[in-house]
Amino acid sequence: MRSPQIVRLQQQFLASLHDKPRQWLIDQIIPAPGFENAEEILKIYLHRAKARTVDPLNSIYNCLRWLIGEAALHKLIDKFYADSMGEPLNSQTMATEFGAFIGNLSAEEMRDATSDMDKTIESESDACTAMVSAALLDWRCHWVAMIEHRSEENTAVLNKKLMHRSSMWLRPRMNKTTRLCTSGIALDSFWEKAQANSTDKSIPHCSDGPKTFLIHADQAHKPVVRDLSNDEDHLLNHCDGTHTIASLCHEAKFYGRSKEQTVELIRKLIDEGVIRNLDDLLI
Amino acid sequence: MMAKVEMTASTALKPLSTGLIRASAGLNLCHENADELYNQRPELDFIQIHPEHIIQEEGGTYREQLDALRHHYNVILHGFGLSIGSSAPLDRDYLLLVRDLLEEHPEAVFSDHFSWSSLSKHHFHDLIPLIQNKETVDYMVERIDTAQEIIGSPILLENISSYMRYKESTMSEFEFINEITKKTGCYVLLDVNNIWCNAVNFKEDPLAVISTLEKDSVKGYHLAGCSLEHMGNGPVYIDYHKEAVHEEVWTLYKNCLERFGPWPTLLEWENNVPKLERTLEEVQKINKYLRPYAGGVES
Repeated sequence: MRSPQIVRLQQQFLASLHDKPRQWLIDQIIPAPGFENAEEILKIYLHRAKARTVDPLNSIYNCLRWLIGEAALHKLIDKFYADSMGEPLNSQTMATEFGAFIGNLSAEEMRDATSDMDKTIESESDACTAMVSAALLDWRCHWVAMIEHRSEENTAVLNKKLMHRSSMWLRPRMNKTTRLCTSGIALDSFWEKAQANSTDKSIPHCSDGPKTFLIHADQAHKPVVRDLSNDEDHLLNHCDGTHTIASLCHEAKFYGRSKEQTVELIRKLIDEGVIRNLDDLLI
Repeated sequence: MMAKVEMTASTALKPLSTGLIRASAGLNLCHENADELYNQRPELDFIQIHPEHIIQEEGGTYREQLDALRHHYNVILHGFGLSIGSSAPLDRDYLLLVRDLLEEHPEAVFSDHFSWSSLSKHHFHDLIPLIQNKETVDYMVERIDTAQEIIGSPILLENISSYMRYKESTMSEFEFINEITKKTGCYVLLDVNNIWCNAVNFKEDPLAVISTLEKDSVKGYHLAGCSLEHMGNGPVYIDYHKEAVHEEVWTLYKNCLERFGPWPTLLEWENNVPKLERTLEEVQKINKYLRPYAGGVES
């Protein structure tokens, strides 16, 4: 049974929080005597709703905040909340939706959001590209920090498996949330500058053209952004559980690396927490 | 081995059962106290966990701690996202999760609130009051029946703190709650702080308020600290759960124990959370109030 009264109350409440207080709702409310009016109570509800939905985005989108400034980030979050079709309970999903929202801003909204950036350092299009890159970097770093290490094999077990006589047939795999990312912006320096809240707001670019970066969580669940050597790049591009170590060693020979060097590189990546599984079956 | 307490619901559902003794005291698990609880494992009759955290935290440290602690302690399940009074459809997946958790934790009961907190996919993360009249009672009865059928056992619903009332309400809070418990077989999780806070904010007598609640409907208590804030027209108590339980609330708790009997009592402290030893002092204080009933009331 639908209750028209409940439907109306709740729709008015929703509209009042996402836009401005509706007169019908204000007329319905009898405030406790300590409140001046109904609007004062609605502000409490709005504050709490945002505190537990969109406010956590402030702590996830650190790199974006560093780049465009506190006020611009708040403005974006406010707009995201006002236009929101719903706020997922899961902060990862919320962060994903906000990342998509940033990527879909119109050119004018992008210009507005980056208006406080120093345009003597960056061109307008560079500023917009950097803004989207910062948002995606934040989102990915949040994502990797949420991974379930417990479902993966621990480092000691992996190193033991690597010693086994038939280890050549194992298939290294990175964590599901780990990403290799190709970018013309030096994501490692970009991330470091944002983490250090550097006053130098220039965007670091890769001097020799786009490079591959690794975004993963270390053994302590902390996000790590680093660039990759060519050897690591070649190897990790195939660490998806489909290639055996024998196959990886074979490939590496084309780049002048011995079997021992490849196995040593795998060991190093296991210790670093990048390779999290050595599957013995092709799934 | 803890004594088994069985409480029969008026519905055809399986009886509400809990492995907790009635005079027992527990603490809520939250992000702020998880590390200390996980590392120290103090003696507690039970902890309260939120099913929403199992949805929200798919991995990471907190989830690992939550899973370890829920298997170490007796638990009760307390939701804030059921939104039983919402006009949007009930979240069946959420209720099925609760059902599975109850199967995993036979000592647990599930509770939520007499309120609404979401509309479709919009979550307000607060407990918003309902218009208290017959139309809402009928609506709530239908929703609670559905929820109880999916979960497979009666649920407890908590009275909320509220800073406003609606002009279209025709019943007091407890008249509204009495009608619903009578028609659904659900029970009341009595938040003593909320009664006190609402009564003071609306200049009413909390003792007179509790005297209107059906004696047999209460099956659990919550205690928390509200905060005095100065709003546009004077002081108001806001239910932030960020300080110790007020002395007046302890006194009202004693009155509640006398009227409704002892039931598992939880201390909630979720904001500005102090060191664990401080919150444990509050849990010990609950035990002090429950001591006269210890061992005497088991079914």
